[in-house]
Amino acid sequence: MHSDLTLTEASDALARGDITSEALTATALDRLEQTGKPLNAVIALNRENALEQARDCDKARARGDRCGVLHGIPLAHKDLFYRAGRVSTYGSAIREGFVPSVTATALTRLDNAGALDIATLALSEFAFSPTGFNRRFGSGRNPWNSKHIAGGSSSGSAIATAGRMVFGALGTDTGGSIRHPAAACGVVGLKPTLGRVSRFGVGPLSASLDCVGPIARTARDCARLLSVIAGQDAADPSASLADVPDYEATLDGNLTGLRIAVPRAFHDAPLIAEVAQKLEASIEVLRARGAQIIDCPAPDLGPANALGQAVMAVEAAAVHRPWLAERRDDYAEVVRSRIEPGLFLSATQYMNALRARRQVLQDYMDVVFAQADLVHLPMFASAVPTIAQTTEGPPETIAASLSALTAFTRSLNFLGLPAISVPAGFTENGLPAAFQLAGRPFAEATLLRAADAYQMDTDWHRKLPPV
Amino acid sequence: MAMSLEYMKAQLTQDMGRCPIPDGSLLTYAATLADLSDQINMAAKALQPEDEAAGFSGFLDSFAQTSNHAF
Repeated sequence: MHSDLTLTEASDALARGDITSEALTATALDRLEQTGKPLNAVIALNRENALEQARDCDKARARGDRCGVLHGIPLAHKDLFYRAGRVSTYGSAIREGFVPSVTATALTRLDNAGALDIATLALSEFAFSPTGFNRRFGSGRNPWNSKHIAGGSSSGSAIATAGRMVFGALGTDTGGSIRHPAAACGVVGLKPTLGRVSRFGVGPLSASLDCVGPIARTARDCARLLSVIAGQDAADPSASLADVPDYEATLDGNLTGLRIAVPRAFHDAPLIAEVAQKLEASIEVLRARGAQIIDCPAPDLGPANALGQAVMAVEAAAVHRPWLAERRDDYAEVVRSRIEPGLFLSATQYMNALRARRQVLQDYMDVVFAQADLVHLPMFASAVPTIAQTTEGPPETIAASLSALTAFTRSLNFLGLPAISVPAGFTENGLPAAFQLAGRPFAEATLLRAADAYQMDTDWHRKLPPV
Repeated sequence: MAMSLEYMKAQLTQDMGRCPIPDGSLLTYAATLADLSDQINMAAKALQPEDEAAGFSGFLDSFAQTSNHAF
């Protein structure tokens, strides 16, 4: 079935004339309606416009027009990417009536490459929960087992991609919000280097930490999407001026000479044994592809996690202050409780947390990248939990469950480093497992090369969820 | 050291004109803030006046210093 194709395979099929964009888009819309909505992946479909655009794409190709690298590919994105004139909910009742006047640079670039934007996808309320929790629109449900969390906050992006509803989706990552749902749903999620992709026209959570990136079935798909959306942007002064390489061009499967650091102390408790086994198995695949595996000490994640939490709370509080004053009851308690402490940190504490970032980054680099190009990290410390395990029971039990999800992702946002989550099999509960690779600043090409090589020798990304 | 309830209420009243957060939540936040403050103060001890990479540009500049694409 054509919905089982990867993004790049679908693109090739379109170019050969084996299939039409209209057919791909009609299937995608049907699957979003029939499968995506029950899993709480969809905010709104753009059915009529999407099908019309798809037919236009087919006509353009038939005429022999020059086509972009995503010509006719149906995508959909987290509902915090603004498109002028279209409601952008940010997953909250507070923003249900918000119609932006601008379009996100990332969406404009996808448009220019020929992609179709066929729906807005669900997310955690204000992009705050690592589980996909959303009181207003319903929490994201995992396509592998709907009793389990989908991960968040880019829950709809991962559900729709894993469930073969769209070929890829954009998400945002402030503490793991691309990587968590990608890992939980069994797809690839890439958090680029801070500044690699413009945030213009994207609902803000924490300006010092927010990153825009792709979720797709393969590293190669992510490479294509990143090549399109990355790069400087006059509308976003924080977007890096660094050149954007052709990320697909280096995906040759050869990891000879690549040095991957493994802080094996992270494989001990509280990591559960079967997750540690998946990590070791993934390391062996990378080694067999030519990578040199180097043991390294576990970096101290404490400072980055704590300072990142402080920075996020302050920056989010600044954005949310008017709504907290007027519409406090429209926030879920779990969201409010992460924002409101930021109202009380002083300006000097905030500035010192930011000033310390360079040194914390240097300390991390000295430990992890002294002799390596990438570092191999866990994604989750446990198997993907049920929704009940993250919402019911004693607060300390819930806190432990959430901590197991975020312990290895949050620090990388404070450090600004790029990271990718890659499917690595399934745990005994039938839910996806994953590993994470992180790299030096702007090392996305290296991350994608390693992840792509891994996927050449594994077929986890070919497994289909039962939806 | 944890902030006092009175201080938090006064600060929020000054900022928002009232304190919409109940006492129970404020007490919980006070514990969180004490921990975060300790961590920030610890990190700040190592800072020098010339450590000015507070904003985006300074931090992104530091990437250039730490980035060494060997592969």
